[in-house]
Amino acid sequence: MLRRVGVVVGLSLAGLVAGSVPAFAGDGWGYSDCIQYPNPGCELSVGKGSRGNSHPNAEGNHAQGQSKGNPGNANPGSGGDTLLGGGQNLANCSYQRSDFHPPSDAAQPAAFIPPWGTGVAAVQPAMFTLPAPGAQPQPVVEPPPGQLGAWYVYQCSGPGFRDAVYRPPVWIPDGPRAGAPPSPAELAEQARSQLRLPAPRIMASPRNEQLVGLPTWLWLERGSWGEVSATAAVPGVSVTAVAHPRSVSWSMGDGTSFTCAGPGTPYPVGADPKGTSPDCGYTYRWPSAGQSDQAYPVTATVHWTVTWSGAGQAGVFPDMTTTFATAFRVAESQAVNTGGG
Amino acid sequence: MVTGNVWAVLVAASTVVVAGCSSSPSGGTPRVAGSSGAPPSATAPLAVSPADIARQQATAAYLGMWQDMAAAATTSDWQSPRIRQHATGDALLVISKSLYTDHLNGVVTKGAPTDSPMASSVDSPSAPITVMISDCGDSSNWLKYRNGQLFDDTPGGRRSITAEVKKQPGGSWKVTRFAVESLGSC
Repeated sequence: MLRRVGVVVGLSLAGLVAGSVPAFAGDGWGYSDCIQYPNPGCELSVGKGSRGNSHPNAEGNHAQGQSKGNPGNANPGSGGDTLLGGGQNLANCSYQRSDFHPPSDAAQPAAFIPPWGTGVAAVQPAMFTLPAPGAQPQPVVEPPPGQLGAWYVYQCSGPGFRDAVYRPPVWIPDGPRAGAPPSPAELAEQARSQLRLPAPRIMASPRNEQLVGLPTWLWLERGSWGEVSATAAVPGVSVTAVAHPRSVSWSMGDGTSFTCAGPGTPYPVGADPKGTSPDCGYTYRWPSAGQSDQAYPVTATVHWTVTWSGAGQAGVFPDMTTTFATAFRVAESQAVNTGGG
Repeated sequence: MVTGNVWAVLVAASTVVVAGCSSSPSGGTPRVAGSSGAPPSATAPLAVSPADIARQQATAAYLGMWQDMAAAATTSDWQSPRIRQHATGDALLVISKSLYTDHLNGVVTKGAPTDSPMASSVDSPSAPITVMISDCGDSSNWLKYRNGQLFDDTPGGRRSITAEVKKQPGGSWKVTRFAVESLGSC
């Protein structure tokens, strides 16, 4: 008789799990990923939830250099703002001036200050360099011509960051911008940049191998399907950004795609093997033999709505997406159904 | 028989792809550089248009850029002169930043990406200066290492890439911008 148990298939089946946790940089394009690192050029992106008009400075703003063994570090000023994490979503990022400079052929500021050493005491990172919300998307210029500033690298620590590696340098212009407190919308952008969308795993039943003609149940690991929030604050102003998972688009690798309204229903122990998932399932019609690796590449893309509120204001950010990938082997049912029927 | 049906479908799909690649985006009308007034012979081999040349050179520049980056990434040499060969502007900046970050973290990247670029558009049929490239790059064999160990458990995979390639004042083609999507985006 067929016995099915819901298991994690993401790693055991194909080992092709990709998430949006910002620590991932393990392939050669890791630091080019437009979702994680909205570099100049990402405005070419064809959508898919990337934020093409973002400036990398959105990564964070409290360039309080924590001068661990950093000889040229300017510990710039005091009394800067801080980012308050929304509970488990707290990400503590610290910035340090770097000795990075663009290749001579690349974009370069007209007046570039050598980052290490000289002029350190005069440099104070500016806060909140984002364009006003609602501004038209425009090509990112990094750094803007003529702007004084420096390249900073940063490290983040907190849950989900497995070690404090440096992130790609971002351009932070010199400050200060005296007497201009951040607007709620600017704070909201900071909070948004600190959202840490989870990387749930793709679950499916049957385990190991799907069977032609037998319903496959699809769902995402429960614990990580839920609201995610982060808060940014300066004295007197606090703004929270909240991401809600809205739907999951599944691509089954055989040309079929569909959207499920929720994370899907785990296959209950002892349920009818021929039963279909009440809300998210699929039945393969062809075996995966002949595919690359003899398996169908499967992706699940979670769509998030992102809103913010605080200081008496509220707004909506563009949707974000996180994509997770795995692969399903699909066998002819009679080839596997040897345990009796 | 099921297996036979699958192969029939695959063969049909392959045929469609091949046909799609061979059709000219400019409408199939061969263009001849310089106007000689003589109509091209219907049976002669297709003349190579300026747009075709641009597509070919832009695609080569695009591939060259990732080869250059892969070479520099084996030592995370963010100041390598090689990365300037096929990239400029924002594209060069992003590559250099990426290599610098790896250099700072003591990380190197082994292997090389697998790319399958296609020129998706050319700005002018007669005097092109901008070619857009669409690619589905595979980083499965282009992973980062630190101290001989894989840097993290991201196994690499396919990423949708859009790139802008522009003709340079000296006549060469260089990638000016690119956008790399998430793993699994193609």
